[in-house]
Amino acid sequence: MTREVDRLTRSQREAIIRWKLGHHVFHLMLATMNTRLGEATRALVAGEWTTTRSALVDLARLYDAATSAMRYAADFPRREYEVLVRPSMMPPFASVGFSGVHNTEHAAMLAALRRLRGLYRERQAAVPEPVGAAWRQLLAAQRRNRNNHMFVCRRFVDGGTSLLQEYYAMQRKATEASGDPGGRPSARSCRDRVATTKE
Amino acid sequence: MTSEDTPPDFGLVSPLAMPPDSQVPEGISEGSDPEEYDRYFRILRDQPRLPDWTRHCLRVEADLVADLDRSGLPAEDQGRVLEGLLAIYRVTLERWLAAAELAECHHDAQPPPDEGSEDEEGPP
Repeated sequence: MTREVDRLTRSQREAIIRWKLGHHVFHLMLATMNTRLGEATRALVAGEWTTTRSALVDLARLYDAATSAMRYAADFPRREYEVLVRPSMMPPFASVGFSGVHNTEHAAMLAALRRLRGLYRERQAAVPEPVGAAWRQLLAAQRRNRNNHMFVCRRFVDGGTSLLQEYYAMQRKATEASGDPGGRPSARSCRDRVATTKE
Repeated sequence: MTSEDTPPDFGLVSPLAMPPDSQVPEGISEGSDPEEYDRYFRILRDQPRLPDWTRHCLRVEADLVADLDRSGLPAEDQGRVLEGLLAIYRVTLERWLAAAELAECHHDAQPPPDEGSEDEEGPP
């Protein structure tokens, strides 16, 4: 009896493994970032500059590492994304609006970084230069990460539109069509539209 | 049949689902959510402790390193990923060290055994 996995080509297996293993690496890095963000926040408030700087340097390094981990996760042919990976994140295999915004560790990291940014601004005048340099490193790493995200999106999808962006676009169209400013499309209509968009 | 094969309550009672916010749910969710994201990417939320976390790190690192050379990832990106793994291990080792130091403190705080108690009968 042929197993399902034996029907996959080598390229398809690599695509599945890299897509999910790359995300596992990404999650480990995010959890580590969340740990360091907690330490950086505590040290910044306490004025412990050596600890603050050390945590910020690690955070910048981890941000760049997370960027490269996502490049690894997307290191497979576009064809495999189109015929195997993207459909696995769409109806009927997944709900409409499936997206990386539902990554719990990433959401926690962004919230912790926003908090740290606010605290840093409040104390900026008192921050020694080595801490300021580490802070700028972190912000630069964040910018590189954002740019890379668009790179990965565009690599696989013309225009770089995500499934969630498609979902929101469908919501807007449905609202405009119904004339109801608070209206939402049904899951079924969204699924049909996604299928149409895909085709 | 081993105890592992026996379901809780001998299979006589079905589990009860409770919302995470302990309130009656509102409406019907039509879109995706973090639970679905976790299921898709095979993320478990079963409160791993430090040894479990470490085992997962080692497994992911081994799988990644085994595949990195086969991938088309540029050397610069490979280096950054490995630096990230080092940072993960550094934080993990710090946690192990803190746990070991705490265990040593507890051990040092234990009263020394009473020399005259050797012949006393211990608990059953």
